[in-house]
Amino acid sequence: MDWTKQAETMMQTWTEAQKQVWGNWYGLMSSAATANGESPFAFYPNMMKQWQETTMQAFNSWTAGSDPMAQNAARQLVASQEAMMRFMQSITQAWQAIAPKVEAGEDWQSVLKDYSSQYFQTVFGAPTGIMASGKDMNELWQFYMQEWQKMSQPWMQSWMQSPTNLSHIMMGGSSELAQLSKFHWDVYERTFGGVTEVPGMGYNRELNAKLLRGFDAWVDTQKVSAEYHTMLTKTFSNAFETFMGKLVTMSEKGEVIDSIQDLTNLWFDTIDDTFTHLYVSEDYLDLQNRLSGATMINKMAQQEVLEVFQEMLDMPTRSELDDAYRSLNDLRKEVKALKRALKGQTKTVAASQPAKKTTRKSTTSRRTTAKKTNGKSPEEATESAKSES
Amino acid sequence: MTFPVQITPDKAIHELTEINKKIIKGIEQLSTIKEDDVQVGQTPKDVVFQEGKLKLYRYRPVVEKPFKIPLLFSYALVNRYMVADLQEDRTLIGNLLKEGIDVYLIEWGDPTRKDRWLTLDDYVNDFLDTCVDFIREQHGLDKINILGICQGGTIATCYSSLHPEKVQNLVLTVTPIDFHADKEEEREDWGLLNVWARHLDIDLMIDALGNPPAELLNFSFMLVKPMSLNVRKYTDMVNILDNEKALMNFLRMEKWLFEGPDHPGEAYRQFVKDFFQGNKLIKNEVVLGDGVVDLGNITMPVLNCYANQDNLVPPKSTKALAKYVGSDDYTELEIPAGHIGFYVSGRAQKMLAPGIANWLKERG
Repeated sequence: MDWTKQAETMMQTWTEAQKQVWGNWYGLMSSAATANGESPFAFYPNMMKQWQETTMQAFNSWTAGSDPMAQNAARQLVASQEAMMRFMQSITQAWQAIAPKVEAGEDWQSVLKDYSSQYFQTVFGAPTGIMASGKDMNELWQFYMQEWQKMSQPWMQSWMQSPTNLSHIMMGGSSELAQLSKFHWDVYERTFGGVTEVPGMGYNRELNAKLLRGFDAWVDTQKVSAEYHTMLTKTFSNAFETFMGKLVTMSEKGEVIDSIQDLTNLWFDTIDDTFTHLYVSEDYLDLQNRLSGATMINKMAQQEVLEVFQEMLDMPTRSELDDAYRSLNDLRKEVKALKRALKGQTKTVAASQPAKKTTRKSTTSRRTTAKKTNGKSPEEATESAKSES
Repeated sequence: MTFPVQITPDKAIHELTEINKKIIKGIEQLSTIKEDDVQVGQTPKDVVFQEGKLKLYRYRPVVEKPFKIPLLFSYALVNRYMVADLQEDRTLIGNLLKEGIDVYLIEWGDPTRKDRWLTLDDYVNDFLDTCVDFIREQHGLDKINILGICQGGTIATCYSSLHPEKVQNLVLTVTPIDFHADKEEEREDWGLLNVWARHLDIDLMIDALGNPPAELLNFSFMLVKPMSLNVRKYTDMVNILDNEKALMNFLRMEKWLFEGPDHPGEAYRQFVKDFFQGNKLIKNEVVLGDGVVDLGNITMPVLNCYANQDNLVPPKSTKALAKYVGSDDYTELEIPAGHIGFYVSGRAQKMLAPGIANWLKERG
């Protein structure tokens, strides 16, 4: 494949398309206050998609063996082209919406607010569909269990393949266990809402309780994620209003922006400033902390459930490993402290023996000891360690 | 009324054609770059001591008679030391070697879950102390020089307070000391990490995650300036695509940014609680092992280097040391850069290494 040739053809097509867009765009913007024409970007999404697909296909096969960082950088590069054009599309539409009001000296801000709010809802979507669509608890439970089923699939398969271990755990045959696990999922799927009625059966009871706690944690996480999502969407919307406001001010002052890069940089700066302002607000800090907390509690709840499975399979759990590592760490410290103490004692003894014949300053004796211990200059020691390592 | 965006079709097409040309050239270049081509931390060095995952490197001197007191680098537990040795023409370590400094550096090693119980006490009173003792013995010296980088500077500060008898001179670079000093900064975007850390339920995080993963830490850094650090740098990349050298610099920085280690859990818990939240360092209330870190104990000469555009560790946070340090010989070195540019920008390269080397040599 001749990359250069292929790329040149691709870019030629791309440039032609852009030429068409900008030609239309400029004509439209020159008379924005009265224009009612179709957006020059109307055909853009499809064209962009096609171009991206072709580019990435060619690129992927061409760069298959190259550095992952380089691959990533190239992907970002192509994506940023799309982001830039989408952005041009959005400001064009917004300007078309507000220009007549600005021209007439009417309230353009509320028009912009509506546009911006709707636009970013479309761009970012509704906050996590699960929470926003008013699902009842039963439906939520179905979602939760689906996630767990996906997660537990490998474990379930392992159960089937490890009848010996399972029989140890459950004190029964593998078929009983398989039935029990099936029963477990079935019961939960059918009976949520009346969970307290789930029969408490020894081992199952513990799992039930942990699953319920997990469900609560999961619901909390979904709720807070939705709140966070809404806050970010609003912030983007605010940033866009600020940005358009800057354009209006420029327009009033007769100032112009004549390069695409300057325009996008103004947009980036506006977003960063708006987010900075958000980041230091109490509302954001509270929400960020709640999101982090809910996510962590959810993770711990997941781990608790997983540990039930791991125990069933005679596998070490995360908690057990953490305990073991902690003991190892404590022992490591003890051994190190003992070694240091021993080394100190050896030095004291070594220092006290020659001291009977001659008295020397402690610094000198330390130097002597160091040299005696190693018998090598720093350079020799380096060479020696090099060969050892 | 005129739409202020006056990008005429001719201008737009010209600009876009230029961009497109650069993209072609850039993708062609990017496609030829293999993983081994993007290397960082290449200044020659040898492992002179190893204990568990910890490695102590000695950089090969490039002058016949290096300065008699070696300098030990204490790097942060976040990211990797390679920022101080990114590439041949952007290397603090390489430049210090040229200035005749004998450089050692500790690589803490990538923590796994096993290392979640390591505390700051382990890093200060065990790992760092072990390395200092090793170098002292090798060189037959009572004291050596220590240089700390960012959080590694805070670790070096604690060490110098607890073991002042082993430190000849202390050099700090972009080191947080007063973790609440961001409140005094006029700019809202300076010290955001401090603001977030103060509001974080760190106990919950460490209990759940063990070791906070590198991706999470990196995400926090990126979130500080969402557009500049996640989008703009890639759109700006267009401008360097046809410049092979600049492109490689960019990729090396990407590599450094995205290949950091996880942070040992208990050490992170303590760092957030005692330093970010309790601001105990300046109150002389940090307890490590059996010792209390008292900044007044730092009586050796101190060179405190800071970046005047540092939004991650704002200058006031670093410069606060002047108020609390016990040393009579305290010097500040201002570098016109941001937190990362401090180590890699061309301008900083010319100032930092000579500044540090001369200061050390003046003190014998």
